[in-house]
Amino acid sequence: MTKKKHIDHYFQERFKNFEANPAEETWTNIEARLDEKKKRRIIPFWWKFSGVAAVLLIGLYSSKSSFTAVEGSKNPVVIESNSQKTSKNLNSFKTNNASSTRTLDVQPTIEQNKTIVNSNKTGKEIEKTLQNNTAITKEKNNTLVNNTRPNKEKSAQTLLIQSKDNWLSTKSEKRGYAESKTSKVKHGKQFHSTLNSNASQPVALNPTKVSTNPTEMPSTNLIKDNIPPINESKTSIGINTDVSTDLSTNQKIVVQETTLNDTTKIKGVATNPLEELLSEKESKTKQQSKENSWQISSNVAPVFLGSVTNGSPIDPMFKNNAKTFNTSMSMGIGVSYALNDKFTVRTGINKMSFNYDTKGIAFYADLQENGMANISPTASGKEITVVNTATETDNLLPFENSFVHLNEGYINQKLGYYEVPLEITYALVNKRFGLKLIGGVSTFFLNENSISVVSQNISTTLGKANNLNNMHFSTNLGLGLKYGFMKSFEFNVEPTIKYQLNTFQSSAGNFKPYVIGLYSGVSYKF
Amino acid sequence: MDLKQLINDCKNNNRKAQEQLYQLYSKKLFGVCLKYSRNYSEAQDHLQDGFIIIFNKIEQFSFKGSFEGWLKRIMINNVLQQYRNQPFLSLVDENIEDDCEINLDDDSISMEYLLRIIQELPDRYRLVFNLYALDGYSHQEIAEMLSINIGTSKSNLARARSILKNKIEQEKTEVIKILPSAK
Repeated sequence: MTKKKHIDHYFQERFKNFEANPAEETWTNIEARLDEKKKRRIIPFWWKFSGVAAVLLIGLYSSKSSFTAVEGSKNPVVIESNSQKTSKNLNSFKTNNASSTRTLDVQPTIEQNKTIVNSNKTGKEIEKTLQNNTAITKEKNNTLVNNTRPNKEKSAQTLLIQSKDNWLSTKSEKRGYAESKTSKVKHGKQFHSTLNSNASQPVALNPTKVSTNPTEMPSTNLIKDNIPPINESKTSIGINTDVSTDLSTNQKIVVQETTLNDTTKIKGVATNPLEELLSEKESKTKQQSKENSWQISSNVAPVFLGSVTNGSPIDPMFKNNAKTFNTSMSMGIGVSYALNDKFTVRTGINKMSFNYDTKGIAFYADLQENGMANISPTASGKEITVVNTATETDNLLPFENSFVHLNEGYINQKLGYYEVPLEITYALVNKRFGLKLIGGVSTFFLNENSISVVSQNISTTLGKANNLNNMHFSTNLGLGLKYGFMKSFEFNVEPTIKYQLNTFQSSAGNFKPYVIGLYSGVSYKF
Repeated sequence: MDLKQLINDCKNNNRKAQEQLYQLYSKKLFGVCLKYSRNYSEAQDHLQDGFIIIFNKIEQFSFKGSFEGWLKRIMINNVLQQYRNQPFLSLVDENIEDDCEINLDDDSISMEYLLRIIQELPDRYRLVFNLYALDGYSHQEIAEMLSINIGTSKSNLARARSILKNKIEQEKTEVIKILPSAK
């Protein structure tokens, strides 16, 4: 019963109600991807905030222990990726099954739906047997590992050789196993690492259990990773022979053709859904890292004050007195924006205070108000007279010496500021380790201003300096070193000099302070 | 369950509803994917991608026209996207046989074989043949969808037909060899 038909119509009719069952795991894959999208939306949101919080915490309590804790958390991530790899293996493995079993059912005169149902069943069966196989080989491997425990060094090496053989055998298979290239490379790396670790073992005479166990772990993993392709090849051979016995010679050719086809299909599996997801993810994270031009940082710095010239902002009479500049602290947070690879603008807010002592003075309580040029004295401060021991002690009348107790000590002037820097950095080296030049200006807002006199047993506030500007500027120049750890964190050390421009209204005695800060801190990119 | 309700639930990202929708249409849409793809595993990928797109875009479905048609269009467009970057075979005018008739017993050739020879067609031929012969798009529409000109669409179709015809003839003779009684 043959009819003449236009080829379009023929296909149209045949494909009219064409349906096919997709693989069983398809829905779970879709579901996973839908879930992942949801998570993707949520995670970065929290991640950013946790990052900010972490920066603040680490910045405030920057200590060695906190750093080691953070770096320690790297390990779980590695383990996760391993599990992903294995799941990937499993997945591609399944699809392989599905496609290979399909070739079995390419027999004429059976309806599509039925064959697909059949193929599903056989697929399951084969999967089961495969699982059994893998179970057996796993057991074997386990026993291997068990055997090897007594004499660790040698056995680790034999294990290595074994796994290497496995690897080679998988390599020799010409089956285009999904993600074979990448996995081979990865395996290769693992080999090297295990080799290295083994090589280092003999040097340590008594390797402790703790150190040897981890080296065993990767090698066993390796073997497990290598199992699927081997088993698969065995079973696929089995399928081929079965088919060829079942079918007549002519069909055999067809079947062989289809199996050939399937190998190409398996090559096509290189675009395995999970893998695609992974690569998608990777490309996205890459994109994200490019987009990470914002950075928030915290910093703590010991601040060293100095003056380029001698002089005293308190009173001209102390111009030539010795001054000691005390080390104080600055801390703050900042935000920066990367304009491009090289240039970054940044700002922030720092709280900084510094103080210095003017030595060689003496003070005593006096009924006379005897204020100094640049001090607005407090009520109690009014009654204190400060003299320069180098010049003024002789001015006291002899009888005064008898009842005035002269305290020798120093004047401490304390200045506190809120600093708002505006700086540009230029990266000389911008890798994991980075080096950059920093330049800019800072605006200082006065928030702390006190002058006190200190002797061995007394410390009294004199008052406030009245010649300080409420706002002044500084020019900043610095050198920044950074070291990146984890993905978006950096550790920074930035020695910076901040030359103060107009701290004082009338710069008594030409006192021109500068500040050197060793700014160190942690920053987080987002 | 009411389809409209189901669609609305899907719009609200209800996972159960999404699964139900998948169960309802996956077979049909997988059929589409199989026709348009190079092989089983690619079809599988396209199905997954397509459903992700469907669930992301379902909000835009405004209950105008058939839902199944909408799904199918998304699926086809998705596959076309995947092959869009494939080099395009533009043909010098060849003398391709105009004779597109085949003598066939309806069931003598299996669906598997038909599907396979479609999948084996070069990408552009396959897409054009599917769009024109199986899904009833006009050359004008195909030209727009694939951003090619109408002439190319036509010549691709002719080429696809002749390849398919040859393969069917080949298969027919083999089937006849095996089963002489089928004559």
